Amino acid sequence: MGEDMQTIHLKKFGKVLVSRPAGLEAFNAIRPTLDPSLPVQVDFEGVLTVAPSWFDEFLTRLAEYTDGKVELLPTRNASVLAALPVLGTARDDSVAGIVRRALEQKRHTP
Amino acid sequence: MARENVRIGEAAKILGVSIQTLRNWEKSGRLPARRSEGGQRFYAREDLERFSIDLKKLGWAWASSAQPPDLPDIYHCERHDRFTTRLEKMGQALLRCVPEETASLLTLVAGEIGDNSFAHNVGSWPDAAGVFYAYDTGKRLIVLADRGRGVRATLRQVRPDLASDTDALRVAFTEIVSGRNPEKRGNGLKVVRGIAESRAIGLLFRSGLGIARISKDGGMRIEMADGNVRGAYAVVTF
Repeated sequence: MGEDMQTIHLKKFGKVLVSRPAGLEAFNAIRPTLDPSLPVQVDFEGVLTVAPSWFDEFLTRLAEYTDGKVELLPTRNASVLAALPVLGTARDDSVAGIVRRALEQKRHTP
Repeated sequence: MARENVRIGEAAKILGVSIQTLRNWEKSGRLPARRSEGGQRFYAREDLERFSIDLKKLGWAWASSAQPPDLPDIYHCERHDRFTTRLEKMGQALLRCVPEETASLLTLVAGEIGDNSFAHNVGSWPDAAGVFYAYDTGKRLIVLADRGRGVRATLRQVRPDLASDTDALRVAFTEIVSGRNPEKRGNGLKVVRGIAESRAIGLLFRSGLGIARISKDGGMRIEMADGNVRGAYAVVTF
């Protein structure tokens, strides 16, 4: 990983991530450590479940803060893979773009 | 308080089944027995009492009774933080008996349904606050129930045209609310439906007079029920 990339390890926030308020709280906690001018990666390693409510809130804030420069790292986390298609369809902003890129990447992963 | 243990013969009497049934339940993981140092099976009396409770019936009573019934503390999450703590515990318990992928999805399903109850009712619970939340990994069952305002009343804030509880369930489970932040409405139940329709996870969800059944084989069916649920009542099977 180069110095021009930052990674958020979601396991810092727990193994089960649920609810919008908790998603907002997590973003507020990580924000001071982020440089909004640089791209940011989201790593799902070590998390059992990310619920759509938490995910939507966290990702929306993160996308706003970094002007859409968010990459979701490839994952086999079943809860994330279940939520992505709905999040991608429900949004018409930069979040949708982030989700679509992640889904595209998944299709190319063997 | 010391745990009182009983042998298999006594356990069979308490539950009204044969000793062979208990052995079968142990093999299948439905009701694990403990072993003494000498290798003898025993059961904690409180485990047997918990096992014999009909979780669906208890959750149904919470969701449908005119007056809020007394609930055992272990099943009543009055506040969201307690719900989240128990959800994490359930996730860990599931990891011991189902593949990680299934544990991840079941935790999402229960998390999203329970979280909805809080998100839509905090500060406006009609009588008793909180969620009935119980699971039994042996019986492969999760039950959630609340005495909130129900799906139709909640959705009518953004869809005043909703005429019935069945319409409300249809919108909740099928219509994706598009656009940037129209009213911060979640699309969690659509994800829940997708999971139930594509995996071996069954979901029964009731609110008001509406009832939705979702399964891998049957897809989603929504119809009028013969009884009223005050808030929401959900049974997840796996």
